[in-house]
Amino acid sequence: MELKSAKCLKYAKSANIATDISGLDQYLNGGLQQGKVYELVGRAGSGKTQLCMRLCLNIQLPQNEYGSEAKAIYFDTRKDFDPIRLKELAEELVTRPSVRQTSGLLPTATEMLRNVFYVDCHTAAHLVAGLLNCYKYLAREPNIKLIIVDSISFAIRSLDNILARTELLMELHTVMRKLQMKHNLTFVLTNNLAFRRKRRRRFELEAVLGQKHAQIINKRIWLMKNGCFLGKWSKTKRFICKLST
Amino acid sequence: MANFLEQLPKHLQEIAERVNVLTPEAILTTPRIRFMDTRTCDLDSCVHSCTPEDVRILKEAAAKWLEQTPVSADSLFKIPARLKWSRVTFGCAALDQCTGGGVSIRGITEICGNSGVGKSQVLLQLSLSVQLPATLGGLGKGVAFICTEDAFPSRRLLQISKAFEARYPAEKLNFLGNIFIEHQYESEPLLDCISNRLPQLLQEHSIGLIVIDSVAAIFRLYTDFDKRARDMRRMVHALLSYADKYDCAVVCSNQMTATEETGETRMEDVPCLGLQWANLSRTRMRISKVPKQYKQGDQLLTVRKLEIVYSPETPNAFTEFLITAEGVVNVPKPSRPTAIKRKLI
Repeated sequence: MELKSAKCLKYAKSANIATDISGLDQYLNGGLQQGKVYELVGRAGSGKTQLCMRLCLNIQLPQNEYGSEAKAIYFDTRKDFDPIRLKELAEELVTRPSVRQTSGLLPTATEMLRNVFYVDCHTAAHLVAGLLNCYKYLAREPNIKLIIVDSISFAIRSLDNILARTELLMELHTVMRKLQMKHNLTFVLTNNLAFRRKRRRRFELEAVLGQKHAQIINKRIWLMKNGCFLGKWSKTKRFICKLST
Repeated sequence: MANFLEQLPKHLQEIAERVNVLTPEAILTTPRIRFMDTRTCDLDSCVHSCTPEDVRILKEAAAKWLEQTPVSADSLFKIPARLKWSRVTFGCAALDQCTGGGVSIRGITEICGNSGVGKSQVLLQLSLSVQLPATLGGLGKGVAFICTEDAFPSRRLLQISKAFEARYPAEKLNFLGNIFIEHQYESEPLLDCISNRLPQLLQEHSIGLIVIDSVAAIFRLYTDFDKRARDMRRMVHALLSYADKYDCAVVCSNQMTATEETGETRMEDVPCLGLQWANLSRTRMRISKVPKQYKQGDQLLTVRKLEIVYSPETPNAFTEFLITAEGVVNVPKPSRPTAIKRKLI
């Protein structure tokens, strides 16, 4: 491990993945950065799975269009993934005028689909197995730069015992951290909202999975009715932009 | 999984047996600390204690046993995987077009609506249309119908099935013989039925649709919200595991309740059971009555509207339909009044 000065880190450009939410992309200076763990939180139907599928396609765009020409793995615990919808998104992306102009060879929708890998996890055990086997998948396809786990809260909450849940979550984080360090990947997790009892018997909307988990992830992006927020807790989240659709 | 344990080296087998964790799934989900627990035996007798390295090897062996190669999204369009994303038709063209082909096999579909709006009718029609062969949009399998409020409307089912027989005479299906009905009015017996008796039924007969009408009636009676959340989750996980194993669709119907959203002053109708249930269901459709009426024969029928509240595949579309003696049908287009010829004087 070499020591790097903060100055040379400042000028190192890392490839970002565009999220297609313009205000968020502006705030994050291009999109999601490499080597970090992001979490998407939102109510049911707020668009988390759609955004995850969008990210799978955006990462395949060339460098100047805010992509990295890389591949993605999608771990699905909730059977939310739909290949037909992914194909529709890919076809729409390919016909976008900015993409056609800048990229040298035009990728077709089927080629874009071929670069997204899908692992169907029925239970939490399958998800753990999938993450533990990730190093094998990365050895086979070294160009994978994005791993999406949708949704991690569904898998963890399928265990009844709360202690087992926390331990399992921490083990998953260690595995993810090892992969992050070694291959400089981006992780995107999906989480749910629930009402948590605060002081004076009021209920507030918070993300699930607890405090330990919230401190390990890098950034938490909220997709709510009023707009898109960034922040770890309901009280400390900052408003970024309004969501159009 | 005796084969899994036998292929491991001896000391790993002993570790697993000591903690009584035998299947690879259990090994992956048990926390590390349970394997390394030294509280159960005296320090002197812990001759072969378990090291973290051993646990890591054990878990990696279990992960390798359960390994699934990631498939590219492209290959999900080919035939064996594609069947996982098939749909069950509603039997009504307008509803099929709105929902992108019908009810999806993946995940739980929730149909919510006020009382008397026609949810049970749609469920009855679904339980008939799932028995149609795959070429006509069904699955060619039977139905497990769990009723939690009121008696099952068997006479209405007979009426709709006659209409179906008239529509598809060539199939010669015994529609009523493939529907298995169960009445459960309380939560504990229902959970017991779902965990024990339903898998038996799924093994013996080929079932393509599991219906629970309605989920709200069971869980609304709970006072302890934590227990309610736990029981809901347990039920949903059990249902999803069956749906995955036997390739069947799961449909639940829900009721509506009025609530005051924070920040708004008027009362709004939202589906029951709150955020916990909303996070568990994959597709949500809402049926409501529209202040429009349609005259058929000498009866005035109220038009119903089906709206997709959220779904991973389809945009938020809505469509209108009618409930007649034949079941759920499209709203017929109004016939044009004949042009009245005016004489030019």
